[in-house]
Amino acid sequence: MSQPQAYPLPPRHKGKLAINQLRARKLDDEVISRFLADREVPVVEGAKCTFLYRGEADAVAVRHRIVNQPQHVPMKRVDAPGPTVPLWYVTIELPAASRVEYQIEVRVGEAVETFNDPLNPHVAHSPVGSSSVCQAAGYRTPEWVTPQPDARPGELVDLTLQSKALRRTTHNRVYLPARFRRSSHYPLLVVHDGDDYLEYAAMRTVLDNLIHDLDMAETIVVFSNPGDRLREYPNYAPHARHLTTELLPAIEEQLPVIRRADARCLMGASFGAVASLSTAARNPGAWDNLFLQSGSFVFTDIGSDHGGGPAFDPVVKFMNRYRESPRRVAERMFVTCGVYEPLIVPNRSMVPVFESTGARVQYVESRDGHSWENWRDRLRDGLSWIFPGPQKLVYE
Amino acid sequence: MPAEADTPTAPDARSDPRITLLGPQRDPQLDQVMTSLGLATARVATITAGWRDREHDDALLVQQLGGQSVNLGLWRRMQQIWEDDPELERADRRRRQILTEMQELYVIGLQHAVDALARIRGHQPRDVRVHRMAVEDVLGIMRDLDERHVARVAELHQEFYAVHAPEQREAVVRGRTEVGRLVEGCDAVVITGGHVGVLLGTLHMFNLAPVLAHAVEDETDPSGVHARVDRPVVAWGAGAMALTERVLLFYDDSVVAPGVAEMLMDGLGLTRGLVTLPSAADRLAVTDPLRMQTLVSRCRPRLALPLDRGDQVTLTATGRVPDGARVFSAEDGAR
Repeated sequence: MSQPQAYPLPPRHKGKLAINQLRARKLDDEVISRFLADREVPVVEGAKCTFLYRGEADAVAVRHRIVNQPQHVPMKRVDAPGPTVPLWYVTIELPAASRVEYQIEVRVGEAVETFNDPLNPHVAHSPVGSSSVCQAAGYRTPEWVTPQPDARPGELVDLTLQSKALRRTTHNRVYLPARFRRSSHYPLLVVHDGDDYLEYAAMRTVLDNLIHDLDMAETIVVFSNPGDRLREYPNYAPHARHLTTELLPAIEEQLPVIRRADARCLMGASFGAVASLSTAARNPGAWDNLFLQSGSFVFTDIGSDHGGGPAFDPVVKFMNRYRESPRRVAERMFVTCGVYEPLIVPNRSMVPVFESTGARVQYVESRDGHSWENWRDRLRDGLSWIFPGPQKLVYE
Repeated sequence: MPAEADTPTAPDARSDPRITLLGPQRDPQLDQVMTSLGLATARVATITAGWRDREHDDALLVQQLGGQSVNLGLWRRMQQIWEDDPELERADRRRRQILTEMQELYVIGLQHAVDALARIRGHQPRDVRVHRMAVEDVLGIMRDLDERHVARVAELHQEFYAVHAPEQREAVVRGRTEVGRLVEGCDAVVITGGHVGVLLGTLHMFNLAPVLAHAVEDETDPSGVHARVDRPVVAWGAGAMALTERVLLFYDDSVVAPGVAEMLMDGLGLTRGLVTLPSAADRLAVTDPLRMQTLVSRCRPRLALPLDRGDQVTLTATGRVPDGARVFSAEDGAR
């Protein structure tokens, strides 16, 4: 069932934008420097976000990846007399609670350079580098993504397995919740791209906080890591076999997990979501919960030209086959996607397909892109739905 | 034996023992409460099993009780029973699995009723009487679901006790005897909040109901009896819920969507005609009259008793809500 979105209304901005007030003034270096020192950049005024750059250049632009929008947005130069270091600006309207990753592109002669916004301290990291972040009006970084003083930390231990299926050694990290007891029994969550979730989505801290706040059940979490990701994640039989017939038995032997499919969940983002879905599809009855973030669920309705490049060939083959004869691969599915990423269309399209199989589907969209902070920000919704905490049972 | 005089106040807590229910004790006021009840120097048995593995992190509680307390250690004793009697532990785990599934399926039914209620209430009535009847019908269905669920949970518990006879198992008998003796040596009992399911599990396992109270014939009560506590009992949070006839779980502020209140099971039944709602102001959408009407309707004929910060409600001798206590009503949310 789709989750109705509850975005806040952006605060209304009255009067002239700050950049327009500045332009109306007599400018010199000091005035511009003070203007920049007095405010956060981008300057967010209601729905209007003004991006700024200061420096000599022939052209400056904002580069972002909002789907269906011009992704190269030229900046204008503010006229200033004489030797003043020029200021460049552009104002973009962003809906409330948007979070947009971007970079600044500067051209001097033939040389084009793209880098993070030097005026903006907000930076998001990922395995492929970092980007500046524009937080539109109404966006708040959730408090549960930063360490809380009273939340007892869980433990992270390494788990190395020799996989016959994958013909390699797999490196996993296992999260044991605070107050872990061998006499208790815990649900099991297996996370694809585990180290990235830990590094870029603060997932260890998130788990500590959600469990402490009773939003999520005490859970054993295996952060698994790929070898050749583009081979192992898009519907790769050895990967599914490894998780189900090697990793799962090893965990069940070593740790007190509940030995039932409804107490197990596979999770992943992008190709990791495809890996989760295809693993569950290949092992019916083994994994009853899926948490799929911005799944790369690319498919074609006609022909085979999907435009995603060779890496997507096995994905498209799998998704097309699945769409031809959908079947229930999990009892419960929590699906999230950012509305600014190209994958929003396939994700929206797959929700009714998943629902048609009888699975309970919870679908959540956000005004965000294909990014780790987007996936981080949705963790509370997903994890507390998949393995709800005992909040309704605890009365202090 | 006739019903006893039903005066609302307890001038001397030890000579006229009552149940006193409190709001949350995050900023504890227990010492003042005990003083007001004439129990400042009383020896107190404490039950903190709802705190689970933190059961003995009770330094503040001990301090509030003037150092004159003994923690019954029910949670730890329960772990010891599981260790000593693995067969009983397996049976109990199986029982909890079944209870979890029953609760899940019951909530699915409730959720559909809640959805139906929302749709019917959102309907623009052409005939007010017809509209009201439709609402009442769904509320009736919810009450019916509640009754059936609580009855089936009770059946499951009875079956567990009949088949596995914990009262005849050495580890349980030993624990019950020790707990009984400890309570016997105390003037009062304090039950804290925490995990209400765990707390109830331990209270039942150690058979605390007859340790805390005895039955008194009462022609006015449908069951023919009411419970009379043998020593003052002070409780809050999950402790206050566990003492009642029926435990209602509620949490309107869940992460994904507003929850639907759900019956958990019968409590110890030491009170009459009330459902306790600890931290109601924090946990319930008290400003949403329709949600509150639904809640109150499902509690009927019992009174929905909120226990918010600073609240102190001493029940009557028959374990009922005294006149003048704040309760939620169907008409306006609260009175």
